[in-house]
Amino acid sequence: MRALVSASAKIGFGTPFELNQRELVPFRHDRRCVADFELLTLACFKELLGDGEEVSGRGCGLYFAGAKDTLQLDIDFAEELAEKSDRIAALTAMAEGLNPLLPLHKLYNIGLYLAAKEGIDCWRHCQYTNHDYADHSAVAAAVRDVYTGAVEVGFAVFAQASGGFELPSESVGAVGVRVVPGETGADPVELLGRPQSGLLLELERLHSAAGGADLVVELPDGAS
Amino acid sequence: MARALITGLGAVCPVGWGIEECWPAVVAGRSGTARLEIVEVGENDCKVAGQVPARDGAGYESSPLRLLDFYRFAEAEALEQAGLERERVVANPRARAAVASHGFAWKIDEFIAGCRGEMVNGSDLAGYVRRPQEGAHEGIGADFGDRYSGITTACSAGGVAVLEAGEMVRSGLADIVITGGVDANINEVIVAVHSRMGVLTSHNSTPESASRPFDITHAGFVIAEGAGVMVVESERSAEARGAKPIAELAGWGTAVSTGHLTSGSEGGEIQALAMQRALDSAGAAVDEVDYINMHGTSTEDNDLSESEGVRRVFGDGAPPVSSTKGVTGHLLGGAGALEAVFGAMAIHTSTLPPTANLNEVDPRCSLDDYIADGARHVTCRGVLSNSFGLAGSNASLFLRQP
Repeated sequence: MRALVSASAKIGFGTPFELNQRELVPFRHDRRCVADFELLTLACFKELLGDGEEVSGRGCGLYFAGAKDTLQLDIDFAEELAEKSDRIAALTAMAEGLNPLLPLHKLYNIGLYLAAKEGIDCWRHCQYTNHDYADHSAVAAAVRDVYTGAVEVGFAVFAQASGGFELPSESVGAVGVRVVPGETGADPVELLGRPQSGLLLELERLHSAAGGADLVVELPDGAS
Repeated sequence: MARALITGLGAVCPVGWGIEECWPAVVAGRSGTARLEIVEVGENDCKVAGQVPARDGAGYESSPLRLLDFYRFAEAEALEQAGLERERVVANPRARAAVASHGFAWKIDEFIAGCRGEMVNGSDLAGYVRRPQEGAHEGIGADFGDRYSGITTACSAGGVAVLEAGEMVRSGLADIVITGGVDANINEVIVAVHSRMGVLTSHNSTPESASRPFDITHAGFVIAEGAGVMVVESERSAEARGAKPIAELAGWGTAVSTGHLTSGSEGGEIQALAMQRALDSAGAAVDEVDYINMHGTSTEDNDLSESEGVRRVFGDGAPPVSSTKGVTGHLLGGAGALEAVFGAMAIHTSTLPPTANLNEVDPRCSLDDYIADGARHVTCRGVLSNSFGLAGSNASLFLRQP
């Protein structure tokens, strides 16, 4: 199965970045829910969307992936919980400290929700989380659905946020590709799984190195 | 495009281990929800849950191992029915797995210890606390490598996983896909958080009938645990192996609603879109649907908007509908897959399961037939199975006779 990577975007991963949280997540009002994952995901997605292009409707598939398991609590809150004398006190503090609409790190589908808020009615969507090949799953689904015609354009985005724990800046960020039909060109890039985010970072690197030219990618189907 | 056939089913839920225990209870409308005893919760929290009964005298332990116990049991049952050996499936480059799970299994004591950077049970709890989902998916499908997809679209995830399996087979990417959903989320933290959200049942004094989809007294869902697994394979693969199909996974649709982060779309508009897309993708007409397994959580918000969504698609001619969550409670990420298993069983056994604990339909629920009067033994050609999740993730599956 072949398709084309027609655009790529990378935010963070060791490069400086700044997110306008108020603009991106207007409903977020609880300092203790650090929704960096969603901010990164959406910022990357918006960059892939570009300006003024119509991608809504039957033709659009969104495939998110990421290390979203990282607890979405800030350091202060985690330390506050750790100082509680017993489990009930900690539980009470946790319940009181959380925005009830954003329970803990269960911020499922919010990247999807925010994308839809941007006016994107997607025909397909999925979210893959927390195994070594989550980003591969997202890219593979985008290529598969574009190849079969289930969607006309697919967006595969991986993000990893720091949550309440320190992570090296090289591992915090979002990276994504825009996939469209097409299979012309020699030497397609074979989409094999790599450690988390490795595949999408590599695709972004190759696409950028080619000056933004379309990149042919191939999803092995296991057929001998 | 290849046809996707279901050749194996497996289930674990609050009414038993295995299809032979679960399905008769679902058909009888015998509820498996009970007073929450396995973990201590706060004074104001919900005290009802759908707990999987202990097997072999084993006690309850909130751990990732419990989640994997459920999954492995249901997976083994599905593979056995399909006539497959797991090792051979894993080794087959034309086989894949797509499973939903949220892996939320840690306890508050462990969380605090993790915050303090302490080691518990010889493991790095900071890592453990950070990685409950990753740990669950590694346990479920790591041996498939990059042929495994771990899906986390909240309460729609089980349905989305089955949908993914359908796409893999239909597109020709795979011959065989093990798919399903599993969650073991009954713990003090998740109960506290959902209680605070106001979505759990308030019927603490009548735990056996606390999950009451579409009833005038519906007052929130009952959090539950378990797994549903199925083997989906191409028609060519099933024929070559001599496997007997149970049902066809004929179509699927997703749609995203943005009206509210936790509520369904107004008037069920987006849920209807998911259902219509499922039928369209199968090339099926509305009169080919003989039964709808509803998401039917027993929350007022869902029960009303989903009913409206069905009405949008079917008008006055909606087929009988029911929610099996009256029996099982809400398995969260496992729900959509378990209910797809029940949908396949409805076709396979010509039996429409009832909505348990439904005594008087909420007059605002707009459909005519919620199967309140016991199971129906009728030919069932096609089933829609709905799964809706947080932040507007809606999925609908269409199954039909093979």
